[in-house]
Amino acid sequence: MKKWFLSLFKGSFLVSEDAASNWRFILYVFSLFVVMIYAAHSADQKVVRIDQLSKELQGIRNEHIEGRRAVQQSRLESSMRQTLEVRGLKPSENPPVKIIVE
Amino acid sequence: MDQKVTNMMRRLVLVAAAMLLFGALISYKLFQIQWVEKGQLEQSALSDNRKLESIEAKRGSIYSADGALLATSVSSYTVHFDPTVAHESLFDDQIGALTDSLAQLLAVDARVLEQRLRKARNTKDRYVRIISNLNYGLYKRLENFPIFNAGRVKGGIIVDSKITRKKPLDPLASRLVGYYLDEGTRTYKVGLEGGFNDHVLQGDNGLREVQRIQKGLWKPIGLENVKEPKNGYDLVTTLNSNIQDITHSTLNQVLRKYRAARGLAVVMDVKTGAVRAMSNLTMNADSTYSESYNAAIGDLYEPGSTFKLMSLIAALEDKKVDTSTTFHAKYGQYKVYDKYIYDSRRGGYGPISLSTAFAVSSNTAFAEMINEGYKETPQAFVNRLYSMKLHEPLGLPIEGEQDPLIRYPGEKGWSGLSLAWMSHGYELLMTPLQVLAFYNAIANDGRYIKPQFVSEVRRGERVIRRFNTEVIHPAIASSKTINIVQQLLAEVVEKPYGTAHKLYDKHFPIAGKTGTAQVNYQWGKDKVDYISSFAGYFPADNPRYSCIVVVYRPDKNDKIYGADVAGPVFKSIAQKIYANTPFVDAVRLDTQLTQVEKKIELKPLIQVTPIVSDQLTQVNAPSLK
Repeated sequence: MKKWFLSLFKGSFLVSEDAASNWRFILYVFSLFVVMIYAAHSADQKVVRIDQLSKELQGIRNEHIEGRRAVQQSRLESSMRQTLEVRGLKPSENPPVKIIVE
Repeated sequence: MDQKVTNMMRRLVLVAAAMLLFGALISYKLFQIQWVEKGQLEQSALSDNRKLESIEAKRGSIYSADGALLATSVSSYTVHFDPTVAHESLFDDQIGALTDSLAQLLAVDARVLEQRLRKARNTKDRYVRIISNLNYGLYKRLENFPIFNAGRVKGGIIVDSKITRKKPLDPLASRLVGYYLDEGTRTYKVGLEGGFNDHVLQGDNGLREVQRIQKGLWKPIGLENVKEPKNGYDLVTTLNSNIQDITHSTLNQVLRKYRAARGLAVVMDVKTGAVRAMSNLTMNADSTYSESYNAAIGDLYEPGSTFKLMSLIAALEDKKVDTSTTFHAKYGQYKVYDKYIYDSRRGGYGPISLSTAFAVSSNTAFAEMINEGYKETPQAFVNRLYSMKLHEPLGLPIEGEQDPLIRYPGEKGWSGLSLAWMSHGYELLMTPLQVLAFYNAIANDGRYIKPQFVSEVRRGERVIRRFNTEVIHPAIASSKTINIVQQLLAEVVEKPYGTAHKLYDKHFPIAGKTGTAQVNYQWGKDKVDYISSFAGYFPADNPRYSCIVVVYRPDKNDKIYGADVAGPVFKSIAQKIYANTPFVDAVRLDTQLTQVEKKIELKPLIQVTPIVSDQLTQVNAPSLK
């Protein structure tokens, strides 16, 4: 037990003759760590991006609704009448006739 | 030398001992953290950095039948400013430009604003409110103002957004669309937003576990949400934005003209009961009108003469009268015990027939008809009204409908005068929508249907639920009676002596009944006010829409009669709907040219004065051959 600890502290597993296989394993563990850290970071980044995009989406939706509101309001007969009054136009009092040619 | 070595050893031992002690202390602390405080620490780590977060379900939108957006959820923005953040050079250079831009947007004095912001910077006030409830377009503009465009960290702009409900067609049908407010202690459920909140619009919030990654930013953890959110469904109403607009603007105009306290107008599709427009306008302190109370469903009133239709149907069904009956009230008054009922025309009409009595809206004739006909069996009259479901509410899906009040003989409030007064719409209470639904039943050949506000519940294009027409009573009266009253309702407008003859137009015949009910009459003559109404349908010969207009307390010094105040709103609505509905004429291609010309000639759209000169005729002549 004592020997095992001593060799661990001396770092003989890094320099001994059969160290090559140990190094391979160490590199493997190291690369696993790198992948794990990268994945965690990119996940965090994605959360930030999603947050940004959803805010932008909400903004665009709002813009759309505002546009729609303006269109809805301005196509109402009462606002049309007001706008066109200055040009001397007013709503017809007779219904249009739709002629269907069969 | 030895002495030196001993000293060194001593120091070494000291350092080693200190290090050992340090190590021991760390080990002790590690042990304590790992074993003693473990539970507590784990819990606080979880509560600080992990939590269950609610995923808000998106509230459904409300649409009109023609696809206009009536209510939806949008973000609104509140902007604060931290004036201590910006670098001195940036602040001094651009504060003038910023306050100039802000002054334009906020309509305030730029210099006052600049002073305010400078003062806040000096006093280290780090949260100066700039504006709240900003829409997205304006927020985007504001974000590009000087200093603000440097962002939160360098410029000091602080933006908070929250989801609010917007009504893009406001103020049209604003009260019917309504709102839903949950203030913890109280819930306010108004209109469709309130009535269809729970199972349709609101949806169901979800839950997920999140972990803190930065200040104010949390990331979801785990593969799935703890509970998936379910977005609310969309609601498609029966309203038509164009008819609603016409109704609203016409009503508004008339209310302003007569300085009335309140007014309402409802337009309903005769066959389906679909409510195409519902306007409720109440006068504000500044004499403008706004949609603040749904009187059409929530206001009980004595309908006055519009109720003569119900009395007439009862009397016809019970064979108390027929079309040949005449009434004989003398001098325009009819006595019941020690009380008199008067006609609106001083001196009365002399002996008159049933149809004339209805057309001129004779109070005495109706009092005579009902009082004489039913005085031995008043229950029969009330039973007849009950059999037509007049005593039952319509059962609307929105809150606030009042139950009608039609007393039964013997009930508290019933007296020997009741029959005579009920005959022309007093001593009983109904809501305007209940009156309209009844008139609609007449237009619909006796089929009494429930007014409908909503046609579909949808998710996107997918229909989740469709609302069909609900029949309250398949036939409120015999078809013979219905035919008679349809004819009489048309005569109210058509006959030159009818109370609503002013509304007559040969192009689109209207049928209906005027009503001018007195209110506060119990407090003396000078306290009397009026409720002026008109209920009916159009076109009279082939009804498509029924409509009621009620105007509360028009200025007593001006006109007060139903035909003068409420009637024109009705006519205007009818006329515009008529003008917007195209005539459809089918022409076959193989039809002779002359026939087509004839057909178009029947209904010329525009009268064109012929400007064809002789020369033109000559030029065109050969090609015609």
